[in-house]
Amino acid sequence: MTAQELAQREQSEVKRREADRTTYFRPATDIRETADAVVMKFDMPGVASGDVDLTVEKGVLTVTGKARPEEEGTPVYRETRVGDYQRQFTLNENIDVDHITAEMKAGVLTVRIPKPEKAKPKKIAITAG
Amino acid sequence: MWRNNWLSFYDMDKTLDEVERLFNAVNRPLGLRSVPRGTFPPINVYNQGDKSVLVAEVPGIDPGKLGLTVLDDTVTLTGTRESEEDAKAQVFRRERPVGEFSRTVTLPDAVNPNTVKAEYQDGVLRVTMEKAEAVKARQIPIQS
Repeated sequence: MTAQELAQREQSEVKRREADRTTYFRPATDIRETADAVVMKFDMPGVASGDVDLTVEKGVLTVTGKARPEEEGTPVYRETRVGDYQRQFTLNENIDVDHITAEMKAGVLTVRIPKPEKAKPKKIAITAG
Repeated sequence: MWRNNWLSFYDMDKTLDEVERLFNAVNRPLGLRSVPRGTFPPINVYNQGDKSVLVAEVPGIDPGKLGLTVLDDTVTLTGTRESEEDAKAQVFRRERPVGEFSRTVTLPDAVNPNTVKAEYQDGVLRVTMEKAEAVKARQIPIQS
């Protein structure tokens, strides 16, 4: 193999490895627990509601958002890059997956996970003995 | 046989990729504690020939409540990101910036404030401004 062929092969190898690498931005997340639900909010500006993917598998919740293409023109001043979003969280096994609701509005995804009955706080009446 | 097992268990190529992937994942934006004042919302400015376009990422606000001021070569953006009202909720994680913000950005070229158009979609504010006449490139005819 000539030196040229070797260099070429290295180039395509590097390209293949770079193409495999997917860089995601991790959206900022707020997680709050109210009396009857766990509410998660993800900041994903530039993502339309149709471009959000939310899956729960084996106790792991994955949020993926496909970003809009970057603005045209020469960037003069750039504080943020455009890219897809992804973040994962492990969930408590008591989570009721079937009743998870999600709403995407103005670039914010709100995921509401209702707590099952047994996890809700209950007031226990105390009888005077 | 043990050689096959050794290779598949300790896949060097994959391990290096994983580590690189970890380092390449960019965490942003950051919460209140790690972002110094004056960097929310993140702003990009683009030069499009006769126009300047400013893009600000402000998810989750009411566009009617945003304040946008354009002078000759500065753009000021103000507004408030409301915090959740529920005081009884237990907070596990808080990363999203909250509160009032005010940012002023200087543009590379002066713009005509009468030509400013702004739109807010999916949490992104996009402001298009035409450059001022004096700044636009002009073709100068050459007389022979």
